[in-house]
Amino acid sequence: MKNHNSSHGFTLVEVVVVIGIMTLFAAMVFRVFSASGAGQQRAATDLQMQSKVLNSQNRIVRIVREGTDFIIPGLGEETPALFFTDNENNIQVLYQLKDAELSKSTGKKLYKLMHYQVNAKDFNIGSPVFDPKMSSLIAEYIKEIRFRVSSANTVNVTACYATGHTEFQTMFEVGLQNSGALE
Amino acid sequence: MKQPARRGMTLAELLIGFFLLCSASIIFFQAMHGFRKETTFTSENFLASSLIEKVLEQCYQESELNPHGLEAIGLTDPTGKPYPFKTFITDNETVFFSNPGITDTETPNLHGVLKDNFNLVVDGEQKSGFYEINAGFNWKAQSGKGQALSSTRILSFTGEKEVITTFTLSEAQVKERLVKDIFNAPGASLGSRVSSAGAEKLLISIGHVFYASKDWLNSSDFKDRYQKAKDLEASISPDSDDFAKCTRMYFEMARDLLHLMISLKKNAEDAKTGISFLASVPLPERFIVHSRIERGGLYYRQLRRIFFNCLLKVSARYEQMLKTADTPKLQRQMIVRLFNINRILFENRAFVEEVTAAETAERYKKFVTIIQESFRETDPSIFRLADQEQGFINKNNLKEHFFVLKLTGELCTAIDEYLAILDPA
Repeated sequence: MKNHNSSHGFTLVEVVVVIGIMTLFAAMVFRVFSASGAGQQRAATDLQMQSKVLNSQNRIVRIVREGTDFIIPGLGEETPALFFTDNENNIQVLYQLKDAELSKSTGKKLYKLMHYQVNAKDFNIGSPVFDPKMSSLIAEYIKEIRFRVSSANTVNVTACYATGHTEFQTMFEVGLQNSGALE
Repeated sequence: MKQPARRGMTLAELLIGFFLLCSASIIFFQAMHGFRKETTFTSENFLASSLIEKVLEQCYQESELNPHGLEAIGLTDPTGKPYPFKTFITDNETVFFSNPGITDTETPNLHGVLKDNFNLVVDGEQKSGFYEINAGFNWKAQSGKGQALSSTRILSFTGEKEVITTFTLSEAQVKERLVKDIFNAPGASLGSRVSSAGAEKLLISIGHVFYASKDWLNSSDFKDRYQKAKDLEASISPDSDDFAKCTRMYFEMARDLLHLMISLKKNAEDAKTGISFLASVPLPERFIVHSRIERGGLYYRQLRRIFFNCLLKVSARYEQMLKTADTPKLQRQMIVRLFNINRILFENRAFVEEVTAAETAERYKKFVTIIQESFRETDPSIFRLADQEQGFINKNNLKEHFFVLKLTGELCTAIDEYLAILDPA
C-alpha cells in the first residue's frame, strides 16, 4: 500500500508564482498610495497657495485704493515696485524684499512684498531708501510681481507666486479710489 | 490528542486579499484625484474671478473718462445699444487683455492655464441712466464645465442737468418793470395797457430777455468777478494757485452765463412766435418796445460772446496746465476738460466771434490728433477717447453724441433768431 503523505510544502513553481503576484500587487499598491500621498500634498499646497494669493491680492487692492496719484511707474510703464501718493501727503511704496529663508528652503529666488509709508517731505524719490523695520509684510512666496500703470487711475498687477513644487500666476486691476471728479 | 492542522494561505486567499487591498487603494486614489481636481477648479475659479473684476474695473474706468467709453471698447453699438461680446483672451486682441497681454513669454503660467480654454463673455443691458454690465468666463475644467460671473452698474451719460440761475426774473417782476419802463406808469397793470393777451405775453417775453441780460451785464458781482479774473491773469505760472483760481473763475462765469442764456431761450422763442402782436401795442410805446427788442437782442448776444470768450480763456489755460501737469491724473483731468470745452467751441464755431470758425476747427482737430499720438502707446483709454472723437468729427455727428452740443447749438441759433425778429425778411 502506498503511503500517502498529505502534508507537503509548496512546489518551487507555486512559490515563484505567489512571490511574483505579491510583488506585482505590492508595487501597484505602493504606487497607488504613493501617488495619492503626493496628490494629497499637492492639493494641500494648492489650497494654501490659493489662500495666500487671495489674501495678498485683497491687501494690495486695499492699499492701492488709498492712493491719489501714481508716481512710479509712469503711464504705460511696468516696474517691480509701485510708488503712489495718498491724500494725507504720504508716499506709499509696495516693494520686493528677498526672502532668504524661503529661497533656501524652496530652491527658488523668492521675495516678500513689503509696504512702506512715509511723509512725502521725508522721502527722496530720486534715491529711495526703505526701512524694512518700518515696513509691513503684504505677501510672501512672490517669485515675480510687476505693476503696470495702465491709466492715470488704474494699475495692472501681474504676480507669480511659487512654492517648491507649485507656481501660480495671477493678474488683476486696481483703481485709485480718489480718482477726482470730472467736469 | 489531535493536533490542529497548520497550513499557509492558499493562492486564492492571497489573491483575494491583494485584490481587496488594491480595490480599496483605487477607491482612495480616485477620491484623492477628485479632490485634486476640485482644488484645481477652485484655483481656476479664483483666477477667473480676478480677471472678471479686471474687466469690470476697466469698463468703469473707461466710462469715467469717456461718456461713450462702452462704445469705444466695443461693448455697445453707435446708438448705445449693448451687444454681446465673446472672445478668447490670450490672442492679445481683446482690449481688456492687451495692455499687458497674456503671452507665453511674459506670463507663461497664466498663458498655459488660459490658452484656448477661457472664454470671456461680456454683455450688457441699457437701463434708465445706467448700463448693467455682466462679465463672465466659461472654461472646460477637469471637473466639468467652469463658469464664473459678475456684474456691475456703469452710469450712462445723459448730459441733462438742471439749469440754475439767480438772474431770471419772476413774471410779476417783469410786468412791474415793463409798465414803469415802457408805459411810464409805475404800479399800473400791464393788462390795462395793452389790448390783447398775445401782446401782453409778447411784452413779458421781451422783458425777460432784456431785463435779465441787462441786469447781468450791469451787475457788480459779474463786473467784480470779471475784473478779478483779469487781474489774476498776471499770474502766468500754470501750477500756481492764482492760475488755477483764475481758470476756475472763467469756468464758473461761463457756466453761470450758459445757465442764464438757457433760462431765457424759451422767452426768445415765444417772442419770435408772438412778434405779430407787436402791432397791437399802442404808439408811441411800440417804439420803446422796438428799442427793447433790439437792445435785448444785443445784450443776449453779448452774453453769448462773453460765454465763448470765457471758454476760450479756459481752453487756453487748461492747455497750459496740461503741458505742465506732473501727474498722470492731473494730465487726464485736463484732457477730459479740454475735450469738453473745445468740443463746445468746435461745434459752435460759427457763433464764436473772437476767433474764426476755420481757426477753431483747425485748433480742435490738431488737439485731437496730438492726444491720439501722445497716448497711443501709454494710455489706451485716452487714445480710444481721441480716436472716437476723430470719428465723430469725420462723420459730423458730435451733436448726436453730446447733449450739451445740441443744447448750445439750439441756444446760439435761438439768439441769432431773436436778433432778427424785427427783420422784415
